[in-house]
Amino acid sequence: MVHFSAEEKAAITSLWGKVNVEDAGGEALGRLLVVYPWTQRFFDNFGNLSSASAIMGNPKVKAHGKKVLTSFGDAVKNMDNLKGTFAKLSELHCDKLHVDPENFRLLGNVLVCVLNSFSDGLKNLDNLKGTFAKLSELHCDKLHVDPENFKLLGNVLVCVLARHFGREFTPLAQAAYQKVVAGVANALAHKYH
Amino acid sequence: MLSAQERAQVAQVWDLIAGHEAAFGAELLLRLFTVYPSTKTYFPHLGSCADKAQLLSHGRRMLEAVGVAVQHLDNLRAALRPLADLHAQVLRVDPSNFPLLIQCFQVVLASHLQDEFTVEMQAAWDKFLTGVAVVLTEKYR
Repeated sequence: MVHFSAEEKAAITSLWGKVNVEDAGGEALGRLLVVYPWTQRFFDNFGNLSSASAIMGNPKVKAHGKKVLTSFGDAVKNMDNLKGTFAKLSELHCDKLHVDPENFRLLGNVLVCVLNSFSDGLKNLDNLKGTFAKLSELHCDKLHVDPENFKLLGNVLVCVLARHFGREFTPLAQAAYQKVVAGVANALAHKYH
Repeated sequence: MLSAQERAQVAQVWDLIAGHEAAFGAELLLRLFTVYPSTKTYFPHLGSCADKAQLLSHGRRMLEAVGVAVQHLDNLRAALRPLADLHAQVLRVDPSNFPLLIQCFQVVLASHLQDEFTVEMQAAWDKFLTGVAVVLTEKYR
């Protein structure tokens, strides 16, 4: 299990509060698709990905990036309060999606499912594995995503944060966030079989 | 390996680093040791708590080598041969560490250049550094 010191949590939370989730998410996903073009394999239905500018300006990339980052920010907090409330909705959507063969609709709908399961804010980093258990099963069983991709996206997200915060993104801040993205990547890979 | 456009991007980034090799190199090493402490095992001569002078000195040497690579994009193997030999015979840095250094390099660039650090620059620089890492580890076996 990943352990975060009080200083690390403080660094993580204070920076995250200033992140524009909408912009950073689209930026991170766009950079992932440009810098590591093989990751485009999951997004055939996203339209024009023919050039860097096409990718960075693609509205589906921006929207999807926003979803992923919102989920990232939401999901690292303790889900205990929300699990009961949203369990039925979550299961219902996931069960319905299991019979839907189209990847794109699956991905889009499942993300809505995931988003409905969480609330805002990086609160509790102490239970990443539990928090991401269902997402992990999903990425293995339905989405067929190599866990290496989670590391790539995590690293790109760190670069986006560095770009945004400049000198404020100190080595200690980088260390804390690399730890978070590594923890999330591991948690997402945990249920693979 | 690198297209003409990518070479231009690499050169553009290097223009921003040139003259500041020590500062960039020192920050690169500081981030590497802070974020990935296991990498310190390859720098015992820097001591367990490398001081600023040591980081600047070693950092400059590393970035100067990157500068050599930038000047010889057409023939990395020849230009980096002594370094490749050094890594294969003496340093023997496990290849898995190079992506860690590359990630820290990207973060240094992103935090310094911010809005100027375009996605094209990031892609070209990543491809370039990965190519350098391949050359440096090619002779391992």
